[in-house]
Amino acid sequence: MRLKYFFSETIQNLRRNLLMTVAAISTVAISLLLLGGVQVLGIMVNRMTTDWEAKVEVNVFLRTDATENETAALETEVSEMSEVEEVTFVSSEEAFQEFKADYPDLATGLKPGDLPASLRIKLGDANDAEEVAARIEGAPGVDEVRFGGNIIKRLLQVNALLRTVTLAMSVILMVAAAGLIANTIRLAIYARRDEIGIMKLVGATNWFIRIPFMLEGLFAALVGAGVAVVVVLGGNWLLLSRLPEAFPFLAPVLDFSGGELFAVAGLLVGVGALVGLAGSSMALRRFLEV
Amino acid sequence: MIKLVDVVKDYKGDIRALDGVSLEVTKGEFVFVVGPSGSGKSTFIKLVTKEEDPTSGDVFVAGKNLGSLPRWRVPYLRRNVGCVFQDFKLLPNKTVFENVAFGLEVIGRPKSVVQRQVPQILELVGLGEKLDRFPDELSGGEQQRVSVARAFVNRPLILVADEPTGNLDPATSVGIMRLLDRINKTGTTVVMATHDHAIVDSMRRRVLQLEDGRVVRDQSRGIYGVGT
Repeated sequence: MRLKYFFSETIQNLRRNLLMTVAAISTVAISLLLLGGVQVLGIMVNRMTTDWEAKVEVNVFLRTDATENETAALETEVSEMSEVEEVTFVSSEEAFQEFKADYPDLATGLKPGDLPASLRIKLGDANDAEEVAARIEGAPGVDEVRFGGNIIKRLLQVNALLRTVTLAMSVILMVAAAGLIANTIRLAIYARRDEIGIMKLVGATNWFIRIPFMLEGLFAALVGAGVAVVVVLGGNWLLLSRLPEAFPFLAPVLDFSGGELFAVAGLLVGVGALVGLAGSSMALRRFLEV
Repeated sequence: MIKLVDVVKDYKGDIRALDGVSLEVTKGEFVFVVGPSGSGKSTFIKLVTKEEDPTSGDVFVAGKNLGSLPRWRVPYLRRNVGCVFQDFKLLPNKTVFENVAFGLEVIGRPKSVVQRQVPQILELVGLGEKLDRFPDELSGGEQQRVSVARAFVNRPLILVADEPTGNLDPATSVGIMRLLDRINKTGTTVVMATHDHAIVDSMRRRVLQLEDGRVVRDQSRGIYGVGT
């Protein structure tokens, strides 16, 4: 019986206060759209930086006179380091074949055996490159250790900055979205303070007054979040997923899994619902104290 | 039914609205509270509905000390005290029927009760034909009848009215007073703040006269008084 009252009251109020409902829904939609945009941007930045960092490897060039024992010992030692994910031995012959395949013009003057054998080391975290390189430097049989040096360091700094910036932006936008939504709901409630006053005077309990307003807030927030989700997913489908056709180098950055996009959608709906409920009950508190 | 013991009420800025008021209204009484503006009439009404709390002293309504009534019990107190105001306080976007039904719905009465009682009470106040009108389509007197209907539809023990005829012409006021009189005859205690001489003098009921927050006269079958 009461449920029926709450729902019919909610629907009736949404209809009779259509302008406020539309205002609330569009505020939610726009705020969450910005938030969603930054989330997608964040995924792209993360993608890009992870992609870059995955390419960071430490190359250990071996002396031509390194013995098999030295090489084997070094390989074991390196593969036991906790930072190291994978070690591949590249023989002199393999190095020559690779070089020939990559740069056929330059390889004409080279003969097999000109290029040194090496160990290729993949790391769990690109940040460890410098330290791992330093530890291997000077080991028996090692000629030179290369890890990209300052370029890698700079790249890592840029990556860290990009991640911090997108995180900060999404936090700021989340707070701004919450504030905007709560404020719109407060306006909608303020417009109906007389109604609340009368409800109090005829002896309605606070929860009885609160529930329809909270349902309205929830409804507006969910519809707004739905609009934002549709725009974000639709935008991705229309625009981003087609970009790699024109710019193939963007492919790794734009290759979103469905899971990531659903996580963004979930975040938008979650934030919307939470803010809708919390915003309306908080905004109500002032008017309930009669 | 209503009892005040040494009640003092100060508002912010050292404004003393009530200054040591003690009085008692028994069940089924009809009481006029008279006095000039600012004499404390409205404050007295607000103490009864617990819209305000006294600065000191005790207020009892329907046997309960309002000072020790927890906040969450206040809605249940108000279900026993119907309120009528000078400005009607109707919801403009609800029809006559919905306005009165609202008073029942928000206290959780089932739909069957609402469907039965609302037309009944609107018939009683003489608006049986105007259920679907909106407040702005009604005259002032009719709007006040709707407001009385809303206050009374829940059959409260007490009906308080703060200048219910303040915005109405004398002829219309008489109609509202007949209505309040009829409600009083059902056993409901009625407390009405007013400065309408003609009404008080013609009804000859108990009169409580306030001046500067004090009761200066308490007279059964009284008149408004001379010079006030």
